[in-house]
Amino acid sequence: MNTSITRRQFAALMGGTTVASTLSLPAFAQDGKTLVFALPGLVGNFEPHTWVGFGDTVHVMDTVARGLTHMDFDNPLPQPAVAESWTISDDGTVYDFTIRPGLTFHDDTPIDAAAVKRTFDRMFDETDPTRPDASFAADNLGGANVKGFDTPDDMTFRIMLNAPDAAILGRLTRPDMIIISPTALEQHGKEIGLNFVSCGPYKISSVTPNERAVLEAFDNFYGGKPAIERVVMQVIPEPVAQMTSLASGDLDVTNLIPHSNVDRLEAMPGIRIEQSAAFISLTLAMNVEVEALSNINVRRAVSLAVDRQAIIDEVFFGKAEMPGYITPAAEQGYAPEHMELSRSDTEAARALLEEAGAVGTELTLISENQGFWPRLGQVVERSLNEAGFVVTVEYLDTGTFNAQLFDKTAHELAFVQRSAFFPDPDGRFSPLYGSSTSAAQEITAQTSLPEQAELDARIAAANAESDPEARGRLYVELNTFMAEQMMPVAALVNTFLPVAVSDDIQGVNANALGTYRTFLENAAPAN
Amino acid sequence: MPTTRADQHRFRLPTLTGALRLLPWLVVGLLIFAAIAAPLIAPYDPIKNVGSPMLAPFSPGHPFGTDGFGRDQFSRILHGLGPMMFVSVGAVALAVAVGGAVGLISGVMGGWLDWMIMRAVDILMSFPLILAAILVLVALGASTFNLMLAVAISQIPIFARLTRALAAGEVVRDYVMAARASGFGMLHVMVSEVAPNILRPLLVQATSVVAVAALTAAALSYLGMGARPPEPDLGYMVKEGQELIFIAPEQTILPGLVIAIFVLAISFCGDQLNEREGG
Amino acid sequence: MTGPLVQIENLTVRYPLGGGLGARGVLGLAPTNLEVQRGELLAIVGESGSGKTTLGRAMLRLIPAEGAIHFDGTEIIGLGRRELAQMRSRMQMIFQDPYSSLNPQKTVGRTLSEVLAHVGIPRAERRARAEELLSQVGLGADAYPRLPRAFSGGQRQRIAIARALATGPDLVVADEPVSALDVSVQAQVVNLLLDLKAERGLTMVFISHDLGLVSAIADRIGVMYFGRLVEIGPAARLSRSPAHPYTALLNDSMPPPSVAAARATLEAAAQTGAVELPSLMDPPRGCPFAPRCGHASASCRETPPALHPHPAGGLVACHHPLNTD
Repeated sequence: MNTSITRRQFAALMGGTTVASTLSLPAFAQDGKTLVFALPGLVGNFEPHTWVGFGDTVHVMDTVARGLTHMDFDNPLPQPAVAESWTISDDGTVYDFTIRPGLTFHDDTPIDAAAVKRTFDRMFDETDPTRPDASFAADNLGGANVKGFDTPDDMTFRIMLNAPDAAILGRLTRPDMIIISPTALEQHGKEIGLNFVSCGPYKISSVTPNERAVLEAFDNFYGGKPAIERVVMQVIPEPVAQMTSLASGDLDVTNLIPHSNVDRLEAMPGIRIEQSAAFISLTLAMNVEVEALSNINVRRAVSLAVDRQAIIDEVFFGKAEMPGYITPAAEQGYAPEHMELSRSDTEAARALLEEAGAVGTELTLISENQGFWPRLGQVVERSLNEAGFVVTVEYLDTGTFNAQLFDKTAHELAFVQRSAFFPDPDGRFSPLYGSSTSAAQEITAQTSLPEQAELDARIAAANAESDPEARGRLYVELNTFMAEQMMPVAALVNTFLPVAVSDDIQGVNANALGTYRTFLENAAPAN
Repeated sequence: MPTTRADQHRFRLPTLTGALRLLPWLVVGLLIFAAIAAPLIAPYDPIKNVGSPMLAPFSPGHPFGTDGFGRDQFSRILHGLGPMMFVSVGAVALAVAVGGAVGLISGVMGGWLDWMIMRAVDILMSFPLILAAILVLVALGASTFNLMLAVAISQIPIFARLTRALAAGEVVRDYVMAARASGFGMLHVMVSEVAPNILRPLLVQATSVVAVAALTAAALSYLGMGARPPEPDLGYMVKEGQELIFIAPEQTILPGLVIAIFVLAISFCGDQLNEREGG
Repeated sequence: MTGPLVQIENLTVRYPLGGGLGARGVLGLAPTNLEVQRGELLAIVGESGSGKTTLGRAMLRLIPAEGAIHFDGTEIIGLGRRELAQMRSRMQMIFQDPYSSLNPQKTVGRTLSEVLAHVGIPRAERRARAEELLSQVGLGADAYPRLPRAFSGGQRQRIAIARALATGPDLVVADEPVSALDVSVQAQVVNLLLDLKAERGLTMVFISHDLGLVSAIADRIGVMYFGRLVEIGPAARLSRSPAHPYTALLNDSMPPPSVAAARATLEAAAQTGAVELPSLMDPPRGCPFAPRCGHASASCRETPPALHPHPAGGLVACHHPLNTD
């Protein structure tokens, strides 16, 4: 196809379909000082300890706030942020963080150990009047495993654990672990989300719900003042509108465009697609309490029946990777031999089914009804049926889908997506497959399998190992164990969010954007 | 004839003259034929991947190319006609039956019953049609039949209103009084006296509303609340194709065009019937 | 049984104002007392809007009314739906406009046989009975399968008469049965009604605006004005020596023998009188005819007159009745 069409011509071509969304964009872009970023939505509430939505809870939060540690997605290990260094006690249960000196919040309040402790206390103290109703931050830090906090001196903050948790440094990089200004908290209480003050590279200048958030570079950011003066986070929910805005130069960075359009956009002058690692894993969860799926050979047959190459080609237009098992290739705990655990082989699937006397087994698969899910549903339905299953897919709106997903009496097969807010190998296992989680109890119901006790033990042992190399080996074995002994999920493919960037901008953290994180402090005008 | 909301939302179509007047009837006839004969004339299975490449361009083997799954687009569009007509015509038929019955009772009985029914209809009509349909689909789940039901429910108030107005116009006429004087009950008055006299204008109006119903159904399918993929559904095909608009615009344009042609042709037919009815 | 066939006591009709629940009404028929004797032809005369059609319909309980109607000894206002339906066949109505009183979607045969079925005639006999009825009103059996639009106005009114007779009624209320018809056929239809009345011994209430016509055919005449019966008495007396000034006005405006001319005069009178007609919304305190009456006194404007016996026979509602000697 002819690719010499210019961005302007392209935008003009497409203008008719998306006028409404592009007209509302003020002329921010292209002055060299402003970066325009596309948001899927914006409520305008940046309360960090409860989930508002990707726009508020992730994209804006990542840009205006920072925690003790930071995951830059280039280095697999967490990096210093508000904490300039830390020490870990020999038994792995006490972490002392040294607060970087001279830092302030956006409201000029100095950052010290007491300020940090104020934020963490708010997560755990249910009597704290500033605490939001559905605060989930405590669970994300470690829940009952967190014994308490302390401030041995003005600039040292201490976290005490009951049992070692090697993932804690990674957990501290989550967007809900950021440090809130105690002055602002004192002043606004429960309304802190509407008057949010933290210490990220940008500070909030103005917020118009469902339209945009305007952010200004912060002089006293620990990494230095960002090169780009202003970030405009503009709500552009429709993929087609994003592509049009990108083509017209009204949008600089987005991670929301459909995979189908990557090649087309890449061919356009002035836009590039930044390749990011495939941190997003897609799995087909099997409810083992459903009679047909209680036989592990039937579950193995499901995994063998999935045509993964067709998923890569027809659903992700080549922008996805063959999976190992649970851990993607970009993370610790992966080994190439895991690919054999997720082999696609229709004949072998059929043979297993015949052996189990389960040819013609009827199964219902629930899927969301938007984004790439319906395409995925069609390919999976087709390939399972080729192997001898009789699969029906139900396409549900997100709310209904989630309700049925977390109810083991309401589904048989279900799609589950897992991205890495921070790439720690434990994040792939304990939140989804540990027996205390609602995912293991309701999505796969695997807690009823006899092998679950050993799985729990192996997860605990792997996470207790602080030597990175030994830890990695344990997770490699964990993948193999779960696939061979349990197979509660079939790995489908691993993918990433395509990140489209204007050639006017460089230094965008594509790996982070490819897995829903937004770190723009190193972005700078090109040339 | 009383105006309905459907009228207010419709553009005024130009009046066709001469032989052109036959055109919309021919188009509708052709589409109905294609819908019925789809299993015979479609070259491929609309659901199966036939081993063709994805998004193949137009060719003699695939007159409309293939879709993002390598399925023959021509066959999918042919097979999508039936559901579109089932939903739009079925929904209107159901809405005429239910709305007609309610409106007939209201218009003939009059009094407090009429007052209550019409206030209820007012409340229903204050909902946007599409929202009412969405609520129904959220409650019932997405399927072609439920889509038909949802569109029907959204149209019921329109027909209740219209029938009530027509019935109230008939019920004051002397033949109704004569029937009552002969000792006939209200049921006989409704079914045997009034109904036959309002059927024609009602059906003429129904034809026009089929176009509205087809559009509503397409919009709901577009929102993913209609047929379950991979069943071919024109509204859903528009949605599926939309993200491909930069690389394969025909994926969204062709099914959209077919919907537009059907809706336009039905509207022209409805207008011609309306003219004859003197509306 | 003896006594009047119909005896009306304080029959009152209120029309609702506007729509909705709890709407107030206006008086369409002021409380009226009236008797219809067996076998008589009682004519009700008045201008349009005088309430004569309302009286006719209320008498058959075709519109909601208050008061009491004794039909052959049975009070029918208080009757339930089922009992009323049984009485219906004994009292029938013929409407003014034969173009709207026949269902345009039904053949003549269907219209008649539905009624015959309703009064319990077995299916096998219906066609023969319907054709017999058609022949009695002067139509051939070929009318049976045809729709009303195939007929002229006069023929349609004959069909409507056949329908009314199909139930075998004792009482027929004919509401201006000829006024919508061509002048050339008016006399035929009136004669048909008189013949049928005589043959079947019917009691008939004949509503008309045409005092000239009814004084030739009626036994008694009632005159209505503004929803009230203002005079009632033997036909001969009313046309010869009217007691109410309004009856006199109707009489004066009647140059016999031309029916058409009489109607024109009456309509002209109604037209010119229109500005003086009292408002239903704001009824006058005294006699409603006072503004148009040459004999009106102060008491006429204050006190509404009640019906009193007139020395020459009948009743009259007037403070200053004419022809009292």
